[in-house]
Amino acid sequence: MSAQKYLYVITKAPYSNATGIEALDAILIGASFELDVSVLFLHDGVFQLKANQNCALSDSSLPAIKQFTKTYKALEDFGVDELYVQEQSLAARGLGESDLLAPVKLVNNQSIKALIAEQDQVFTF
Amino acid sequence: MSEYSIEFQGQTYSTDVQGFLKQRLAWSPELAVYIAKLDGVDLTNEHWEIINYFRDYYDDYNIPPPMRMVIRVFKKAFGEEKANSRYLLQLFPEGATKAASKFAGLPKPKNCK
Repeated sequence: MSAQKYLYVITKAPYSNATGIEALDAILIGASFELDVSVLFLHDGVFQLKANQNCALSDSSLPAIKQFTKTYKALEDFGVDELYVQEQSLAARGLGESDLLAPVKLVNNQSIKALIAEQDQVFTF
Repeated sequence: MSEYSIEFQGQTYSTDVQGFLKQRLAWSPELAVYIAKLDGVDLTNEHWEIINYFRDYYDDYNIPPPMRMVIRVFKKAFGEEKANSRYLLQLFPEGATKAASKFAGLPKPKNCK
């Protein structure tokens, strides 16, 4: 039996809430169970992949936030082969592939449909 | 301050219940030797190859490397005999990912008990 295909869809920007870090935990769990894991970044989710993030707080008395998004770069090492990014979401936010911290595959709505259709499970964060 | 800590050279370092440092930046090689000794491990060059790899990887990705990555990288760098779980377990009887992270001053990996 081939591995189950799990797609994790991330739609929120990092740091304003815990969505991103929870999605990342779920992805790492899926990957460690040897599932066939891929990740799709939609809408504000594309900000997760922005390179050179500055998550330092202006109030230095508060504990620093960990820049968890660096871990997306390591997903390949955990057996997550593909990071998909919706082309329109990226363009609408004035970003291009060169602004991102990891190599991604740009997809349009047509290919997103096909991508979702071939999954066993889809999780949206 | 946390309720767990270790004393080393007149300094107090807070840790979690299993002895993982709370402050990664407080780490030093001397402290690593001491932490390892508390766990009954004398650090050799072979240990340091792995600990340094863990620290570099964490700097880049904010996560300890997965075991399959360690094995893949060490196979390339040092050859077959240093790149298998048996070799790693001989060096770190408590489990390579867990113990190497601990000695390297990294937080406890999420998939370790």
